[in-house]
Amino acid sequence: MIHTKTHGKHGDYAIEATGLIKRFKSGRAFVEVLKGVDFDARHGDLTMVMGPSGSGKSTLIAALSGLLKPEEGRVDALDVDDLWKLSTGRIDRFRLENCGFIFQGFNLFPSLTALQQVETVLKFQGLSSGQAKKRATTALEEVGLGHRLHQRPAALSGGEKQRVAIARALAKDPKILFADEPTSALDGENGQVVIKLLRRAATEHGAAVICVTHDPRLEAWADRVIHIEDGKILDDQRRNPDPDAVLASHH
Amino acid sequence: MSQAERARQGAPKSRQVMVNVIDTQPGSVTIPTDYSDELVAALRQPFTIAVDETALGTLGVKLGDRAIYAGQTVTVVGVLRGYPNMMQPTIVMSRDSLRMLGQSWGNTMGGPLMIKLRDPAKATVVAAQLNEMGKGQWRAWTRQELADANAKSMFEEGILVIIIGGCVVLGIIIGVAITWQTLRGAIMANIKEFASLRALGVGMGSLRRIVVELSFWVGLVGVAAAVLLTWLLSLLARMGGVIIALPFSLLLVVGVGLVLIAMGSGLLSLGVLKKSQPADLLR
Repeated sequence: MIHTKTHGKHGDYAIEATGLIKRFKSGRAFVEVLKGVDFDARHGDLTMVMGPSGSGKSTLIAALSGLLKPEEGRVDALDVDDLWKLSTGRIDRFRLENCGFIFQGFNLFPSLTALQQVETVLKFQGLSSGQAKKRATTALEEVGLGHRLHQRPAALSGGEKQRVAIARALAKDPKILFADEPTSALDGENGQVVIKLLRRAATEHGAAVICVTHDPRLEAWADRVIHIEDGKILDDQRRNPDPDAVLASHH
Repeated sequence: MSQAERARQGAPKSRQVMVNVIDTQPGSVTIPTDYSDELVAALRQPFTIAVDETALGTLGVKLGDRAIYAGQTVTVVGVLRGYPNMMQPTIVMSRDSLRMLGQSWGNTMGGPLMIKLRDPAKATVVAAQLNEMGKGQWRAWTRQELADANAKSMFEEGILVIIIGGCVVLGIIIGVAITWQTLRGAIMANIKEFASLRALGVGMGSLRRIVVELSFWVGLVGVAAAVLLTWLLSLLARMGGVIIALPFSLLLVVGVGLVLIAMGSGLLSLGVLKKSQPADLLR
């Protein structure tokens, strides 16, 4: 039985997008990266978006998260109708309150300790120093870094850095968690730790986790796998995740 | 005979000096207040001079040496501290010595006079009354007014103001440029980290505040460094016999100025934050 704070009801829609079209200028021509994509993700699901590089999967989460405005289409996220109708400031605010982000690179400030990395964002959310410290400590303990709170990135391994980045995203208690190739810079063992943490964010916290990857080995943990290629969704399958799956190359 | 010819004939090197003349009568008002009684008594002897310690090397003399002044022998009986002159070596002698050296022309009518009042508290009133009486024929100053006028004329006429002004302008330009470029570099080095904060919803305004706050702290560190360097410099100068006065008000102005320079540089480097595009991280 799980007794953690959950968002929405498992299975409720967290994000719904329809008819997303995104073009990039390439010389004189325009390249259409998203060709009318419909997408949705639900609370409690680990939704995997897979596709080769250049398929538009990263552009898709940029459009879903309010980072890159699509030319056409709309995004409804949580209680916001048409996210792209909001001002930049309101979109930032929406992300600050509701979204977590994990990138392929860990993007940690070299001069801050693990604890400070996590606290910084919490303070921007309006938490007091004391509250931020407490929440950050809990988040770091949850990713297994309780003993590394005061280390700077230079003293952490790649896997530990990614876990700090995950703690930074999870400490906000996000309703939607975006992850872009979160394991591709990591070895099998650390990759497994990371994907399990994402799995837990969905199952235990009820977050809608949207994970972009080209690594097919991660599929085992997903509730849903969406294949995208050439700006279009090829297929969309529901799965039964196996939380005890083992990432290959792990000895 | 030119100096070069004199030198060829083995004559000692000669230097032009500035002469400060004091009245060595006990209680005279032209004796600087930090002169010891022994020094004044020594200067009261005929043909004696005192030299600031910074001019000893230039003049090639030391305490007790004899030197030739205006063709006559004088004796160095005192070494002063705190009277350096960067333009020209200065010597001090009594009015009587000057007269005996044949350099006083007996004109006691037109020169400046220093007078002492029985009640110094009335100085301002007396000076005003004297000026009233003189109707522009003379000018009376209190001690403070004279000191201020002296300091002011140093800054108005001297090369000092050009040197100081030049240093200030250069300092500001170099300070802004260096701090600006350093901050810009620091932001550029962390641009992905800033972008990830943007992705997590931290607005551009907040990032700007971070940068300006950062530059404020850089400024404070700069002030601390400046305090240390200035202190070391003043120690060095003191070793060389130059006493640097560091009035608090001036230090405050410079300190605030340094912080403003740093914050100005911070504002200049805000533009580079625009490069923190979180969408660029999704590649």
